[in-house]
Amino acid sequence: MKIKSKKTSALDIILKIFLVVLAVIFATPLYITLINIFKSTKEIAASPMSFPLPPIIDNIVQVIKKSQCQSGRNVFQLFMHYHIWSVYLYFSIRNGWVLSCQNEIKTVARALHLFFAWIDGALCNCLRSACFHFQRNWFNRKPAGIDYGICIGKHIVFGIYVSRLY
Amino acid sequence: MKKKSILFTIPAFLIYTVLMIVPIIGAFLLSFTDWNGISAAYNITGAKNYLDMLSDERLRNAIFVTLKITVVVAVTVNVLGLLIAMMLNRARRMTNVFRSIFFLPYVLSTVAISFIWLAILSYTGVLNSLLDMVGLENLAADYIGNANNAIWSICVIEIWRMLGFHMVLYLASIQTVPQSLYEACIMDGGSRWHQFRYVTLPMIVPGITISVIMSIMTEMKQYDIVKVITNGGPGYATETVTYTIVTQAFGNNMLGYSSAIAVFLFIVIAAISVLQIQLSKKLEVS
Repeated sequence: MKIKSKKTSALDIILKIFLVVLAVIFATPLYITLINIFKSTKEIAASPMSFPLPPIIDNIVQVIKKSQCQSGRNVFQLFMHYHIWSVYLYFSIRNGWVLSCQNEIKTVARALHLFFAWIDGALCNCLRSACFHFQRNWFNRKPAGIDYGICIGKHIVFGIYVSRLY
Repeated sequence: MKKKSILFTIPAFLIYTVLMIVPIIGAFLLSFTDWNGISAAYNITGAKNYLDMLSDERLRNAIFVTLKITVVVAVTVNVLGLLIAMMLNRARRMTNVFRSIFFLPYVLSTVAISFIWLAILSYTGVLNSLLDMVGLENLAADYIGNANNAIWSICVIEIWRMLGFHMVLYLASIQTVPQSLYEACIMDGGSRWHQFRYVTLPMIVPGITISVIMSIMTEMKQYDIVKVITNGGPGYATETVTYTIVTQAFGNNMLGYSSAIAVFLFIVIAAISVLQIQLSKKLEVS
């Protein structure tokens, strides 16, 4: 019985090396951030790439202790936002997907695609700031609503995009 | 089912319209006024804001900087994203590890990323320390303080941040190409280049369209990284259009004028999107 060996060309090897080098370059900033959490300021300045030996947790303790950091409030907000956004994201993506997958209502999907994608895509920070202003004054509500608005539009478009791909 | 789907979309549609469209129309109307953003009174100035834009040197420079960043980043993330997606699609081992490494920067907050890179690229930062350690101190430079280097630093950071997202888009597109088409190409004696050129590329045109449009839109609105890394400087060297809009609106209290620039940017991006969609439709394979 003959065993077929898979041919590996020079191009394959070069591409693999390229991929590994690129991955290392990409991972380096993340590595630096992660290890420097466990080092003192002096150590970071002296050798930013070295592994923290022994690792210290002073930086983390400071974040928790400092009142300016408002760690408790931030964690709570993160928790609340995570759940609210999850619901928004699920329904938005689902709507986009359902609309786009149904051939008979392609026109509606297309219209929504244009409506959400263009408005959101072309929206720049000034318009966004103006939105904050109008929301505060006209609707007398927290401007955070704008983020939900953006999120809904973005993910309906994303649902449509994804369903176009498959 | 049809009615149900539309009903599902109505709440999102309404919220989006009230929270986004109404204020945007308001901002469009503001572009014809001299409102300073604070006082209740303002005058209607007609097209003055739009005419002022034509003679604004600072805005012209911002447009040039934005275009430079957009072209460099959009081309790089799309070419590299496609290349990496092709490689990861073939690779079996370690695919998930590579995918995670490339995608992770996109998940992180832009401001957090900017601070990481600030620590790396500043004159006394990690990169110069590394170069010093390996005896390449001649290559050490001021990557943020120097006007020529600063814009390239912004591009590098943005490429690092966005590449993973575009790679995932391309990977999703490539994985939808039927294997039978590749087999047919191989049967006809097609090389790997032929498989890519005549099977993969035509089949992923919708994916390319989405990726290119998204990258252009993101880069045209570049603000966060510029704000944290260079604050538009040195001088106005890295000031983008969006940065100018925010500075004019909230630094110089010229909200009317900045709204006019925002409307201009809106029209430019919409025009680019339409052109891109039309062009891609011609290339799409049914």
